[in-house]
Amino acid sequence: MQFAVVGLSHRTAPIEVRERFAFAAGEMADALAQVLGSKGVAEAALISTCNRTEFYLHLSDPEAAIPDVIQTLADQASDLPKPADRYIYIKHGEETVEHLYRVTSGLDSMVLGEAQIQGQVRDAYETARSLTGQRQAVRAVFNRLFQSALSVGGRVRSETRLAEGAASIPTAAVELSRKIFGSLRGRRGMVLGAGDMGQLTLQCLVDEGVSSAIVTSRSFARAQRVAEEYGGSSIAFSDLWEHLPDTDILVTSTAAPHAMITVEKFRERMPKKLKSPLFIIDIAIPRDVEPEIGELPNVFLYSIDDLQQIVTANFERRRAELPKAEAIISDEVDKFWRWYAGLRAVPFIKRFRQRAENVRQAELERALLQLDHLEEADRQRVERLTRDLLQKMLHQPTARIRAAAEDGREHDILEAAQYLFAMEEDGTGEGEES
Amino acid sequence: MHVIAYAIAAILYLAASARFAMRFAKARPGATALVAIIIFVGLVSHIAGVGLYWAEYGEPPLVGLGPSLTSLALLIALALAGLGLFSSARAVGLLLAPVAAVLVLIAIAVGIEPAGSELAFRGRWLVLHISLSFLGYAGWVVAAAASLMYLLQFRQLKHKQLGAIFEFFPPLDTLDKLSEWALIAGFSALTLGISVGWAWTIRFEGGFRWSDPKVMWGVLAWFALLLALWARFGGRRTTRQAALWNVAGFAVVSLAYLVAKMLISETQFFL
Repeated sequence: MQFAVVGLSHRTAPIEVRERFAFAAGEMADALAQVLGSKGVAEAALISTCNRTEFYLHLSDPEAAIPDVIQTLADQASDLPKPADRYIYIKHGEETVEHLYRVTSGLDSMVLGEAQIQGQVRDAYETARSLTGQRQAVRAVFNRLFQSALSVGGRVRSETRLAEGAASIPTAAVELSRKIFGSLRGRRGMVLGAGDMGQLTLQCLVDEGVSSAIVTSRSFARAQRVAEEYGGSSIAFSDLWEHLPDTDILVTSTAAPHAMITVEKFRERMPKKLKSPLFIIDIAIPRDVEPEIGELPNVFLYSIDDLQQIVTANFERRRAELPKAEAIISDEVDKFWRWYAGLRAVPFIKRFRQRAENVRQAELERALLQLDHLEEADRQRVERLTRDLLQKMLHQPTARIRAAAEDGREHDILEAAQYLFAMEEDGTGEGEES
Repeated sequence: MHVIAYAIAAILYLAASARFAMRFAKARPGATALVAIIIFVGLVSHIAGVGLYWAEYGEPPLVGLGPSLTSLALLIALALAGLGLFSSARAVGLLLAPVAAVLVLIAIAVGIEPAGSELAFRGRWLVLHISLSFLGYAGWVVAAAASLMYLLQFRQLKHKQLGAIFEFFPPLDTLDKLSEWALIAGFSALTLGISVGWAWTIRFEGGFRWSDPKVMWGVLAWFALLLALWARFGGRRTTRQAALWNVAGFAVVSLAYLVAKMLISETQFFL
């Protein structure tokens, strides 16, 4: 049996290619069923996000299965101008486990350490688990693999600072807002201009629970459209100064060639002393807000450069955590691999225990024939005695054979055990028990 | 025996302070379960100290510098433990934990035993007066700590210096609200404390002893608290100015205490 991952990600394919390979939530079960129908696929799971589409596979016949999986991917993106395999990578064995752990921990994400992927891996695992019967996609090995991957993701995030600090301009804006206002629930936000970055920031603020999100733009129709999209309200650009005194967070992102909010106008239209803070996030280039406004009492003004500095600093800090995260992953891959290697001893252990059980039953039957004067309760006691005795006798050899397999010494140990217990002639061992 | 319990409490508060400082140095926000446990055990030891003192002297540790400081420290430690329940405000422990530790250590240094000169005042009214007054001061210590952190965090955010203070200190709004509630609670308790003291002196001594330094200092503290509240609720001051007034008032009153303590001869009782 072998592990493999077949897929593509932001590292190998641009967005316009990735989106063609992506499977919608409703398509994933069918895609998995198709892959499971391929020869040599024992278990499978599919992770499909905007940054990656990957099939994780547990294979009995890799050579037969992998071309079929590649074909499934190619069929999904059949209208590609270039061959699909140009973007596809394949990893085998231990590399597959390591890759999944890295993905779940956010080490392979476009934004290093981002947390969303953990939920996406959990969803992929749940989808695969939901397939049952003939199309069962997850059995013992993938159960263990995905559960351990989710646990590794949790460990990396709790034991390192990889997920700390904002990693994009909008999240940096939200992080700063939280440092000023605590919870953003009930706060009043306003977005001036409706550029892409402004909309993203608005989305983040709405997600944080701002009570009112006002959108204003030189084009009222555009302001209305954006406000509708994000559940806010729109006002005419000329009404900006009427609403600004009641605003806690102002995001500006117009394409105006000059500052829209000048010190002069601000002093004229705003209260002399703002009792509570006003946080202005100016992400327009050129700037919409004159920098001198940031010097006024209770006004916090951050430009796109300020936010970018925060993002860069956070990114550097996240990068500095990489060695710690890598060490955790390496440790966990080792643990999983030991567990998986231990499985190699399972068929022998099963045969070994079954043979001992057969001997026990035969000897018990013979003994009980000679002890037919015993009461039923005593017969049960004798039966229990033999069973407990056998369990105790077999416990250590079983544990040690499994440990030897986990350490990669199963070949020598199994050979010795087969010789000692005269099990060489068993073949697969299944015959003797049946 | 009570001194040992107090000493253990002081050591644990110091350990909590060190833990807060370590997390601050690493710019890791909040506090951990370990700090909460340390503070809780410290509190248990502190309360045991109070119990032992009471058993030994037949009165709560309220009279005399050493006993007073331990009681004030206990109230601050209780506030510290209470803040531990609110994750966003835990970091205020960076200032409160060392204050509690230092107060207990000073108390141990000057001796934790009742001051003989105040024996005549003992009784239920005095206990109420002192307890309420200490509650007022403890509230003010919390408010001043929150205000000081507010000013530092404000400065960091204004000047875009997003270092350890930015990471570790609570949000401005949290600090502002904490300061506001602590001020209100502190002022209410101190007002009641002073009123009870006033009523007592009128009833038993025929009038308020305005010339008594500790009465003067208590009234000064009350006025400073009133000013801090006025800066917050009256007038048109910003939250930052309200914090500034609070910290300045606290500093002036603390300084006045130290000066009075140095100037007033040891024969005259002053807190």
